[in-house]
Amino acid sequence: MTLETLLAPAQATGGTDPLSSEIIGLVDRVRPSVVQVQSHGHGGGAGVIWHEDGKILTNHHVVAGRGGPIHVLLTDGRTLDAEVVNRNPTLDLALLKVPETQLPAALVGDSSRLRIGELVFAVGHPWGQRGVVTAGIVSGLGSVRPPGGEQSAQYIRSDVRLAPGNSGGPLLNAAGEVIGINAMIFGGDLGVAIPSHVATTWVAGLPSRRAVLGVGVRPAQLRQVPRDGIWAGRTAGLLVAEVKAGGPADRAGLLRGDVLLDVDGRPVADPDALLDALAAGAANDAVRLHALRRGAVLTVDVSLAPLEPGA
Amino acid sequence: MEVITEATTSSNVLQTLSNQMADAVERAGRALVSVSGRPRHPASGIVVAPDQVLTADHVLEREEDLTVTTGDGRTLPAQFVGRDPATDLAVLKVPDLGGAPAARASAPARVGQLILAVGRPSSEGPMASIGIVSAVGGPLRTEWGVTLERYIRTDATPYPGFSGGPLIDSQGAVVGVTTTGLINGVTLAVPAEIAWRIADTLAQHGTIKRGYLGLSSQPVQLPADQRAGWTHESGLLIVRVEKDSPAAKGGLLLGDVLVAFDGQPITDTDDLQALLSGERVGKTVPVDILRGGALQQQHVTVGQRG
Repeated sequence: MTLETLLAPAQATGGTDPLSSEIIGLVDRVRPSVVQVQSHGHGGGAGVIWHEDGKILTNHHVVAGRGGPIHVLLTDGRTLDAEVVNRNPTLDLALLKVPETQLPAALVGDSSRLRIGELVFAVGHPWGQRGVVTAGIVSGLGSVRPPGGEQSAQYIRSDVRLAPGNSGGPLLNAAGEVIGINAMIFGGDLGVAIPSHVATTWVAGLPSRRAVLGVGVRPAQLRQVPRDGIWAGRTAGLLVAEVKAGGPADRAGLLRGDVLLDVDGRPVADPDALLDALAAGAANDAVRLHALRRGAVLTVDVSLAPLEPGA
Repeated sequence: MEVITEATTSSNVLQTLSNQMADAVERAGRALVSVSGRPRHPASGIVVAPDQVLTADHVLEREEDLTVTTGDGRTLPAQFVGRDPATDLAVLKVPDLGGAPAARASAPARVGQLILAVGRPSSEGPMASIGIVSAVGGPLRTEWGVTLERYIRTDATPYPGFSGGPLIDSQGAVVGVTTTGLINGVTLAVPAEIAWRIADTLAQHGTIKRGYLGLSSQPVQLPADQRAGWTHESGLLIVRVEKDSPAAKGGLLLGDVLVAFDGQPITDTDDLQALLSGERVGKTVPVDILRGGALQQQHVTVGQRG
């Protein structure tokens, strides 16, 4: 069910009842803060302008994958290049940054006080159609522990109609505040959103700078897998194809041709996993790498020097 | 984050409605329990008396080892009291339940009315979906051959485990009892007034009595000059009379056209079903028929459907 149904008669007669007027006003206010995120050629999903300095929040799954350029489309017609500043697959959140300031940031509400039955609105780009608004209520509040995950993730269930392209977009309350980031769709009639207080806490806890290793890597199949110990059976790693001179990896003695196996105990079979591991290690200013060099496993402690973002 | 002051001052109707919906769910949630009567998939139930829960019949796949879980987290043993598959309702007795029973809406449901479907499919707390009353219809012939005199249809999403839970109005009062068991896949609700009446009868007798005649019929047009004083345009042609049935004992014959039952005009099978209610069981009632073009009156003692 959508509230559009309820409001159709008022629109058909050309007038607007107070309820419709308020929803129209709410949508008008919020729409500029909702962006479209395009990742490696796909329509991708939606995103929320989280801060006027260019920070944009979206789902991790919207920008996960092979890498490549990420574009952010604003409602005023601008298309901006974006980079992933941080990501958390467990929470399904990613923080993007675009080189622009004075953006129309969304008003973020307190989702920890949400009540079941509250009216909510979703804004997104289902199936690529831009700026589509759907309405419903908060259907339930719960938490799930993802398989293998350590932290359980809280979520909001709602009966707003969502489709691919809504991911990363906002779930709004009746005041037009963002109370969730739409994330998943179960069976077509059950939207799931990550509560805004979870997102706010995550963003607030992020290091103010990016952790940078100073390497260029590409996934590699392991040919000489060590037969014993925790490495047995490992089939993939990251081949160090480039080491930036003077960077943290260089200073720690990592060489081109080394194959990264894990970072702080987290297996790194693809570049996304490396970024996640670095993000987690950034708080400690140092990470411990295990790498394969000439058939032997090497332990390398890397001090993550504060560098300018973008390296 | 940026504060838009306008947002906090202008959204009065919307925020009032939003709060009202949340209040309604909270209110209904106090008299809403989770019912465990089948493996793995609990359903919902409504507290109708301090020791009584009304739920859906089809969610009770057993009559023993039943439990209910309350909103405050208590899991209590429940005793099976009675069930009525025809309306998909059942009643449980829960001695230690306590708490206030659910409030019933004072007015019948109207098409277009804003409603919420509420359920407690797990111990995690209530769930709700919003919709409107899509239709108020009836009578509805259920697969049991019994007529539900009125039903409510809604477009609110029925989450798994919502059967037996309430459809509530914006005040939190129960408009109907949700079920997906009457017509497979369609969300219907038994209007609260009927549901409460059936709950009372189930609490007292354990079953719902329904009248039985033992005949099959089909509607036929009544020519204007063959209505024998009645004004309705169709009646029921009797196409089969079961041996030793109440109809047979009352003298009804194959080929008779039924035009009235207990003084009420009969135009189709739904009319007749609606009149074969529990209170007529065992009573002898006049039946007006057309036989050979002439009006006759027979007397039939209504039997009870087994």
